[in-house]
Amino acid sequence: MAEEIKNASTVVPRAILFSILLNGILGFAMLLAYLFCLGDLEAVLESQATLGYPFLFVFQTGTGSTAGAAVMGLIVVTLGVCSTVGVLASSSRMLWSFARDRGIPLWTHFIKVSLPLSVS
Amino acid sequence: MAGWQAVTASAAYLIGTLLQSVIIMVKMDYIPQPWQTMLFLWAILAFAVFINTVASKTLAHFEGLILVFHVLGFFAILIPLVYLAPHGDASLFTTFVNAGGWPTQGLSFMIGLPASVFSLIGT
Repeated sequence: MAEEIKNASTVVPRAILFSILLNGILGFAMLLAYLFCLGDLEAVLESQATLGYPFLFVFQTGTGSTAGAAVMGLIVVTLGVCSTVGVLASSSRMLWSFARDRGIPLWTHFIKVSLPLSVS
Repeated sequence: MAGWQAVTASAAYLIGTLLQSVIIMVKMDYIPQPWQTMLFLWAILAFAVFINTVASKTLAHFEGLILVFHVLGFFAILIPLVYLAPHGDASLFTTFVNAGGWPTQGLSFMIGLPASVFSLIGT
């Protein structure tokens, strides 16, 4: 994806470092908030059997309402879907650029680009 | 190379199981079937493929929009959680629970570390 950016040699490292910093700081802040609002540790660990994701249980007991916890869970789901879009974009470009350099088997199959749709 | 493709599928699978957990939380007697998880997986992947192929020119705008959503969503989760939940005290940071039965605390910490770090795997 770096080929598609103007001025790539300065923008890309800056973007990588900035994303690491931002993710680290915000993730740490979220971790602290989550740990403070854990409540009863045994109950949270028990919920792994029913819910599968303890943080939903923490949301539920913390905010005291199932609807609020469901909305917060759905926010996480929406962000996850959007991040899947980004991961698909980068992994498909990886595969295509490797095929362009003949680095993987069946590269002739991956390298075709159909002009009307500009899809490879 | 195969690892990259696997990361895409595993991210979508994780979100599919998360959505099923949200449904369990709302409706108590829902029992998740594995084939329903697969349907969620394919729906999420179909959406991602759609954005990437048919609507590919909107990808740049989409990514910008996602950034805004991420920041808003972060605060939307952080603020209600901190405001409404009963706060623990500082003993949170001093008590260590070794529930897995490993011989030393340090080993237990090391075992649990990859599970937490998994989410940072993209950076």
